[in-house]
Amino acid sequence: MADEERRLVEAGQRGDIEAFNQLVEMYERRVYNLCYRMLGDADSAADATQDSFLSAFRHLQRFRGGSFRSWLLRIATNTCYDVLRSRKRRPTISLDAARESEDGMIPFDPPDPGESPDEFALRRERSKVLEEAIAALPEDQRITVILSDVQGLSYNEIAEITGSNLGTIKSRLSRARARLRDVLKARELLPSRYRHTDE
Amino acid sequence: MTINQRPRRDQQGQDHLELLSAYLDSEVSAEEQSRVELRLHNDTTLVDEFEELQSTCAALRELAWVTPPRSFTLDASTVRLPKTRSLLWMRFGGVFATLLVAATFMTMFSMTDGTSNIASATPQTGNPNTFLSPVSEVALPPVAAEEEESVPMDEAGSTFRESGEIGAVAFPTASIASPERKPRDESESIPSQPLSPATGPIGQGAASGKTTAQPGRPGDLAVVPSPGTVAEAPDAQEPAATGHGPGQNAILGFTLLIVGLLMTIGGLGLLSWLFLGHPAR
Repeated sequence: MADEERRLVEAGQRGDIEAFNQLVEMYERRVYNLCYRMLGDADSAADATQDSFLSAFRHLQRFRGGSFRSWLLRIATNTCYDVLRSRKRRPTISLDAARESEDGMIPFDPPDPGESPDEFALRRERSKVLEEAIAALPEDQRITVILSDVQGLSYNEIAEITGSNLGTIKSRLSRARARLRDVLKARELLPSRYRHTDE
Repeated sequence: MTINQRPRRDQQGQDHLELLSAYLDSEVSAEEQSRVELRLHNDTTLVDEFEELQSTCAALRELAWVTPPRSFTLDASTVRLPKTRSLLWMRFGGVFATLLVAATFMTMFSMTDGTSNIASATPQTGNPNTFLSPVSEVALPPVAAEEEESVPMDEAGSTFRESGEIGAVAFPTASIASPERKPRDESESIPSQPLSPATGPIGQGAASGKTTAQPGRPGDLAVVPSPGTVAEAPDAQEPAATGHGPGQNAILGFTLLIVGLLMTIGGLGLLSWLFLGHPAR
């Protein structure tokens, strides 16, 4: 897989757009989800994802090896920061966000097999509260907790993506987790069992 | 608990939380791991805290992955467009830079040449809107107009044709304007002569000899502003007098040229950064 990825990257560096599009297909879900969690609405996330891939293709010559995923997620992270900065300069209300806040819609999440309706409803409620709590986190804590606990990346990779050192990552992550724990505890939504689910 | 103990306890709590959080992800050293495990074995409140963190992480991992609304594969036309745009910017940027450098160069040399010839160049143009114009506007109207009426054009013309008189009249004007520059010899003051025709009515008024001969009259006003005229003339002669040669001008020009080039390159870099987007950081 790594060899195949390297071959596609090299082809992309030579201007082969079809090869690069294979990389896009490999990572678009991850990049889109990162942007969605960081920006909080589908339209901004789609724009940021498209911009990230476009920027990645234009600057592919600058990729000097290592993890292509980290390099790509770093571009996506910076794109999200740019969007957030521009929002601060020109505050606008996202129609998506407004619609979501009105009817409480969250991304489609089908029930797990064997999950009772009550459990499913509780999980939906918990997800909604968590998403709001994540959106309320400071940006540096938000990106850290998304990359670590939502996307399941290692501390080293998060440090590479965010350009921070390991100590900073540990500190941001623990603070973010503590905040989210407090929110869930206040709503009595902390799950009673530890369950690890991969992507 | 004193006031100073609170931040220390907060810091300890943060360190403690950080260690638990990292332990949860197995991102601790062997020494830290054994320390945490020993504390977990002995401290039930720590166990509760650890389980809460575990539950929070579990809830985060349960968050659904959102399905992208569309494909983000790139279209060849989308990708090529910025390249064309980039080349376009570079092309126009190059033209702009060349023009800017050429303009800087020409302006600079015209300034240095004009400085040394300013006194003599002005009368040739005969333009009343030059730096001498305030003199004619402020000083002349009441008396000079009178003088113009009283002195026929032919006479005025003949007066100017008598070069000896011009020298005799214009030279004292310079002496009045800058007495501290008296040590200068006549050859230094001579370039102020052409200023008199430029002032037009001043020259005529001065040539008539009335304004300088009767200091109490309003006609003196026609002479008093002329220091402005004459005061600039010696300044204009400064480069030649102090030995500013073409070599120094060339050095100055070259320096300005380099500065202009650097500013142009910086400006182009800024423009390309602004319009072509951020590079991968």
